[in-house]
Amino acid sequence: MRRENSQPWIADGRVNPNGCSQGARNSRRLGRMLWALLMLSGFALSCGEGMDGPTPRLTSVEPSTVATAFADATVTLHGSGFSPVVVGALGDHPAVEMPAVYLIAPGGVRTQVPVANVSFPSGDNSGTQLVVVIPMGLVAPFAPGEPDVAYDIEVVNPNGEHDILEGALTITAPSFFDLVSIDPPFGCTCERTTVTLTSDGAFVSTPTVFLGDTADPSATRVALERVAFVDASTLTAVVPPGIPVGTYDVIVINPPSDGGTGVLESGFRVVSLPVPVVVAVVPGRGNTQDDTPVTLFGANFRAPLRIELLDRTENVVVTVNGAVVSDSEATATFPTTTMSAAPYLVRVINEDEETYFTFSGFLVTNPSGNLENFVTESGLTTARRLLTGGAATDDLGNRYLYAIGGDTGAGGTVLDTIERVQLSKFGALGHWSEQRNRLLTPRTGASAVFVPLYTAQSPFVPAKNFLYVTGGLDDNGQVLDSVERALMLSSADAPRITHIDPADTGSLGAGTWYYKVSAILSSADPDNPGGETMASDEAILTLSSGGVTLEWEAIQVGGLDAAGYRIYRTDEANGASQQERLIAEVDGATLTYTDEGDAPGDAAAHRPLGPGDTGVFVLDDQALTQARWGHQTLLMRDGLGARSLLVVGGKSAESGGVLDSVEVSDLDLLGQLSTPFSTMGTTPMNEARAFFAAAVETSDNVSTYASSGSRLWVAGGVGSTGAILDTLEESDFEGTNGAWTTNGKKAGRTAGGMAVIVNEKLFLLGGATAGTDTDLNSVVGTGRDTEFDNSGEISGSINSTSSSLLAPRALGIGIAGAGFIYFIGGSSTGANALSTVERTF
Amino acid sequence: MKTFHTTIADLLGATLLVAFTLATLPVTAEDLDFSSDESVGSTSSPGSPDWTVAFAPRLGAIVPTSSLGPFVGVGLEFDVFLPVLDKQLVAALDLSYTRPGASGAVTDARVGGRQTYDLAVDELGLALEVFYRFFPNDQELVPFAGLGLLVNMLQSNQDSSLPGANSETSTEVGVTLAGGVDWRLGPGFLVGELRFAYSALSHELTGDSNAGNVGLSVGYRIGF
Repeated sequence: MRRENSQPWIADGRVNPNGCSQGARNSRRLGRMLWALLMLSGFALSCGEGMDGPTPRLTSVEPSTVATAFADATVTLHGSGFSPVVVGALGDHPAVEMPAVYLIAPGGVRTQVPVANVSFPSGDNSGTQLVVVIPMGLVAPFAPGEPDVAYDIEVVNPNGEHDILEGALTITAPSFFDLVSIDPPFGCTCERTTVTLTSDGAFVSTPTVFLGDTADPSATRVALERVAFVDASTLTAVVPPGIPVGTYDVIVINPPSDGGTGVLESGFRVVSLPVPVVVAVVPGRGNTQDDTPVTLFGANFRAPLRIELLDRTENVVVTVNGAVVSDSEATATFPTTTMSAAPYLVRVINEDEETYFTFSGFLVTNPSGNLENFVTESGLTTARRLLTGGAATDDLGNRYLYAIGGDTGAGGTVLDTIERVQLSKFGALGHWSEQRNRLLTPRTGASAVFVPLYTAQSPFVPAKNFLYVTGGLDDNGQVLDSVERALMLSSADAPRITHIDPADTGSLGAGTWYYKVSAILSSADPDNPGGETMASDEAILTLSSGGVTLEWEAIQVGGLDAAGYRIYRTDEANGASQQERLIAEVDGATLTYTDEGDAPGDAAAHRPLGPGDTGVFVLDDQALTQARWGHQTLLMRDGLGARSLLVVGGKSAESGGVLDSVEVSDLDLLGQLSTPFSTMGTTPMNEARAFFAAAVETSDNVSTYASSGSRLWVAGGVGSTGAILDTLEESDFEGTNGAWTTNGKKAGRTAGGMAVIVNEKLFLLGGATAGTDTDLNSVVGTGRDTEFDNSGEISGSINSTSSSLLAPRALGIGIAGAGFIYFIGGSSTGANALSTVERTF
Repeated sequence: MKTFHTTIADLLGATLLVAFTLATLPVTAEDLDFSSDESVGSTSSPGSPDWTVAFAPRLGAIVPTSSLGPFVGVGLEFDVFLPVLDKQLVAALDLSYTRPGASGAVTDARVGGRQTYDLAVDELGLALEVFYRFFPNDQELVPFAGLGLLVNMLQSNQDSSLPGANSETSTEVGVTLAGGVDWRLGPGFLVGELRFAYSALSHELTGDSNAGNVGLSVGYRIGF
């Protein structure tokens, strides 16, 4: 309801009650004598002083209910005749004077909203809307429990014309939710700190997050940057650098439509020194028989250094002192004799400011080295048999598992898809998802290997990681000799969005919008030709309406300029973080884009690439000399550290053709195959094998292996006669593989089994105990293991493992990654396909 | 609120009415004996104007003393030749009008960045002045000089890229200084005049400024 103002009014003390300016009153008195001449002539002249212009009309306020106790609230006034003026136009500093906005409480008390907080919506100077930011704490209610207050809103144009809308805005008392944690709970004033906030499911997209000085609640709050709504329980945000050292309350405020507020008192500390970072703990495991000396590598280590080991519930079970060798290296002895066999997190604490880094992880095993605690992990999205895969670490140190190709079972579809999943701190798997880039050719019975590249600057986290997939059987029954290669995407190549600003024009609605930009690489790029980089970090902007303009830095990868850029955005305002879809593509010379409300694509290809994704697959110049499937491809190194891919055994035909041959291709320092695959100089296995288990022994996984090179073990499989083998062979690698030695120990008669070397032991698990090279069956979940002796050899008996797989499994993959062991996919009958995944350590 | 242009019409009408009234008052010529040849002395040449009152419309250009731009100025002066100093002392009522303007731009994020504006200031001045004419009217050339008290009625009119046109009105008191020369032409004098007028201009729209100007004009003075 509009109320006419019945009283004379004063706007900013500028106009007096009779409508004449105060400044004119004195001069008017002096002029009265002259005016009198005219008055006597019968002409009554009004002084006519003051300002004249449009009259505002208020029709509505949106939203009509907000909370302002803990945060500013933005409302939009709708109506007409909102008319700013330029004041001081003849002076040196002309300025815009906006209409004044007042909140009138039921008692009549008028409170003006600061003039700086009144604006037009972006791109709309029609005078029909005003955006008003009501400062936190400007008017009641100020605290939870206080009654809501309905305010009249008055708009006064600079010309003095005004309008009032009664009861237009209700300000509510804030409601509180539990803000559970912020991790890490500290950050250095010297750098940005990415934090994760958790609640009890109370977050509403997209909140604002502040740090408030605990000691001085009246101090200006610091807004966190890039607040991203992950889900109702999780937010991520960035604490900007430069905040004064001290303790801060963390305040999360949901959008005005919700009004909820979460406060974590004294929840965050800003410290003066860089926080520690751990990138590696060597060795990554110990046993309960002996305490374990370890070396920790990372950055920002300072004495005194304290190290805590945390169990699954993140309780501290052991505390030891660390010796700081350098800023990037420290040593300690973990008292593993006092610990239970389990995985632990390693927390390294700089005691000067009690800042820490929690690293995953360190495994304590029992003296027997037996596998334990087999658990079911999240399953594949597609059941796969005869798949291949591996574990890889990206350039940020995040760890992933991959399931590649395979088939959906006997007579089923041969797959060209790739699934990947990220490992948590305790080795648990997130959700598997199919990546956008697929194999060039569907392959089953192929073999894959990751080739990480380490540099002097990054000795523990690979600067690059190549994936090679060799051979296989395609969907036409053709045995393949081709090799495909893809590069694991690097965050370093992702574009960086430098600006995100509101644009004058556009149809985007009010709320928070999330954007990403990726680069399209040149077709001449050797690693990812014509492919796409990982998308940028999210850029986030909250709009009242209009459009969004993005700017980003030019990308050059491998010395080549980007050929183009792709722009991704969430589908709707206040969506969820990381749900962007493609809205536009621009050429490589264009480094800015204005989104005026473009429609997003809806295909899977319209999702940006992210961490763990590979680039496009390319056909490597080096093909196998022998088409094969059911083989093994292994990354070998010689005593000088030179690396090669070794391809062993398999079958040359869909039926029959079991191979004993070995071929090798050398890798150069860039991780590329530098020589053609060749059997020259290699030694064939003593027995032809397909669908066999294989594992590589190095000094990294067997402490008694004296060489700096590597040794290959193969076991079981289907022989040339179609019979299942139980023999175990080994071959040392020195540029090519040396003579194969048939170990006298029997590995168990299985084909399609999976081998891993951990805990100074060789484990052979699962497999089919009956069948032929085309029809395996009688699948088991049991296995065998044996210890390596003091010379790194297997000389003792091969026993049944104390623990078995949770279910029969063959033709799957066994991966030792991050200290844990994963068994993925395969078949429980020989014919079907499994999506299940198991983990042990 | 009465519009500014209505006020202008009122003032013009009032001025004309006052002039007409004064001119037709029975006391003017004879009662004051302004027009007798004896009273103005023997220097008058035959046919020389021995006026009691006169009108002098004028047209010229003004240059403001503020940051407003030059503009055309018009004026109408009503003179009363006082019966002293050989009628060389004149009381005058002067009405003048001009409308200088200025343009500019201002940048403010609250209104989407850069905005342009045009400002025009209506200046309607009414001045009560006193002139001294250095020779009687029987001379071919009569220089004069004078000063006066100015009542300046001002209206700032702003039109901009922002929504709505706004104006602001005030009345200010100021001064005038004027000098020039009358050159006999026909029944009256061709008038050349340099005039300075000044008053404050303190509108919200303009800021603290002034409505001063220097004007050069020509006109014609005719009396009876």
